[in-house]
Amino acid sequence: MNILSVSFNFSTNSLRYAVTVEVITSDGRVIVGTFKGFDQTTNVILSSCHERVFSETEGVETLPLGLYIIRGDNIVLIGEIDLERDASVDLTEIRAAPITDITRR
Amino acid sequence: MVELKNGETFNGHLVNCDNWMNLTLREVIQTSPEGDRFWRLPECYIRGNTIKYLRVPDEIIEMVKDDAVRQRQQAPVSSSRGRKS
Repeated sequence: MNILSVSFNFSTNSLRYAVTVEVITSDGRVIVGTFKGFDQTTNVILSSCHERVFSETEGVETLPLGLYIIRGDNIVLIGEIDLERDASVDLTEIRAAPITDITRR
Repeated sequence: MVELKNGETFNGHLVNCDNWMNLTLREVIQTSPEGDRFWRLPECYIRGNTIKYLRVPDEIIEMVKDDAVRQRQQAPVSSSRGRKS
């Protein structure tokens, strides 16, 4: 698949370390994983990723997902995660409303 | 496993793909968005622009790395062919 070969060419040129990112998708999902690659249409490859499900009543639920290729059409946001700051957060204490999906008016 | 934008999921073996992410799968289990209805399809074709995401086995990452290294090793060999001295 083209996307995989493009992404590995990129990573051997500049990135020599694993970056953890958080991706928010158009259906309101929050997915955290190791950023493995991308292409011109912002399709993204995340390895060892998991979904964080936020709830107003219970702590954050973490669902393991594995190796994901997310199509660029569905990506809203990609952010780099500072692992130290993320580790200092106690996910079980967080109460938050889940993000809604993209609504077109 | 492929999830489409409409929430349907397709579990099967990837036979072919192209630059537009169109896929052909074999031995497919199709699940409705609600997760209540299932179909078994011997093969199916999925248009790339309907895909939300793909879940692939973790081993693929290793296979692709080997593939990329091998391609780079073969490239210098083929580019020196045909040079006139």
